[in-house]
Amino acid sequence: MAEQVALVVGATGLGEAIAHRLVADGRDLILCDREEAGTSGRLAETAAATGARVVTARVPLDTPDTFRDALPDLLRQAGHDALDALVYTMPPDDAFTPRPLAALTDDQWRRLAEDPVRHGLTVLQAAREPLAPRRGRFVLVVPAIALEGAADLVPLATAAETLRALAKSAARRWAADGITVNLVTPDVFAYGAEHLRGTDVDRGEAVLPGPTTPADVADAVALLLDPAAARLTGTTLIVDGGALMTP
Amino acid sequence: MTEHVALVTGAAAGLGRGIALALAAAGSTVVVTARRLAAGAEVADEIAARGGTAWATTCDVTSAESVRAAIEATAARFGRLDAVVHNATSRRSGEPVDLEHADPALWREHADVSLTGSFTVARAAYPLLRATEGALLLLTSPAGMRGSANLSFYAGVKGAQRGFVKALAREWGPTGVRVNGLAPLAVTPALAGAFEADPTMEGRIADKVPMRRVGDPETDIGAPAVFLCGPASRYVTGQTLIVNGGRDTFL
Repeated sequence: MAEQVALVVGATGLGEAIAHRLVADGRDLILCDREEAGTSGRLAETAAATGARVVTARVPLDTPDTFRDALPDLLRQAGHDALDALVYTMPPDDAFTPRPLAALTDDQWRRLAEDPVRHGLTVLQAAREPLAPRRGRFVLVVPAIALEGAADLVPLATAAETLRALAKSAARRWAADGITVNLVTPDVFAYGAEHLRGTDVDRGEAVLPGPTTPADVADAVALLLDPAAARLTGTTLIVDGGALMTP
Repeated sequence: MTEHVALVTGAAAGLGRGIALALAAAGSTVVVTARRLAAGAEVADEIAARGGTAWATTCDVTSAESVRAAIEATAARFGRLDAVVHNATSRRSGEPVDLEHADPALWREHADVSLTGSFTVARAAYPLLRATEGALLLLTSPAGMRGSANLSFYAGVKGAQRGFVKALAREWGPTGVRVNGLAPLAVTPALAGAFEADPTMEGRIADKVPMRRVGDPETDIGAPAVFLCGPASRYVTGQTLIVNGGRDTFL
């Protein structure tokens, strides 16, 4: 992985686990978040061990061009002029709190369904240019309820499936540049949403023992970034311990 | 269907008109809604001329207030609502989008009608649909499942509606209200215009359809829509029915 750099959007939870895995594999890392992005202790330790360069930045995603405009400087700081991988994991704020649709206000809908799509779209729109020179890879991580739905989580399911359709569209557009776009959809428990145990989203159908962990999700992302995954684009890896098993 | 009141958004032309005509032919009282009242009234008149029952009212699905008003007017006039078909799409749905550089305002236009519009329509209709154990039907598209290189924003909002349908079907299941999607291929006025501009286009599309033709909004799409709006589909929820002559078989 020498000389490779990955940019991860989302610095906590799954984002942290993915960042850690990519650094452990020897990549340099740019870690962005809408909030102040810090590096976890283990990330710093692993980076010191591998000699990876790690750049962190707070990048607002609310304004369309902020992310695009921030990229050149972030790449320079990381010692690169293009990206090998971009992983988007940003979970919306407060996304896993169950709320019946009929009681949602316009503001809640905007915050829970529209804003997350806008944030993802901002990153997707800016991704082609830095990925093209190295025939890089884009991986979008959204919860698997995009595929299955879940009661009282309509805004999250809607936003996640919107981003999945936009990512597939990007996969079609960017294939000629050698850029691949793939998706990883973990179950909600990989996001730490333990309060959803026993609710509609939890059908207890995973066949592998134990819960899905952030490290499992990071492994799936690493698979999609492996050279052996070159022929995969527009695909979705469902990381749910074998609950869904479709298509 | 008797005693069945169905409201259709974007019903002045194309798929919305075809579905409204089919619902009326099946015995529904159809509330024909459109942004412009005159356009909706033409379809309502057409239904009346064929012996059906219809009433037109204005509804701009990008305005929660307008949606609420249309639903309230329906309740006041007919006292019930059994089915809502959210068919309206942005006028710019068929425009190719430069995904990497498109203005966020263009995304907004798509999202206001299809993404947020689905929410405001569902929220406003819920009390009435609950009373009748009715049905909500969203018009989506295979583009939302496959993605689209050129119509990427259209694909995005049509994907949005798929996630919405599945989640809301699970949420509303216990109430008996069903939520489904319908993904058609049909000659709408927009597509007819494109065929006129590019005479080989219809053939190119039809070649990818096992049934070798592009569907008709009323005769091909209408009946499946009636099925998903009425009691015959009483045990069907959270599904997307693809009605496109076998073009997509992956579901």
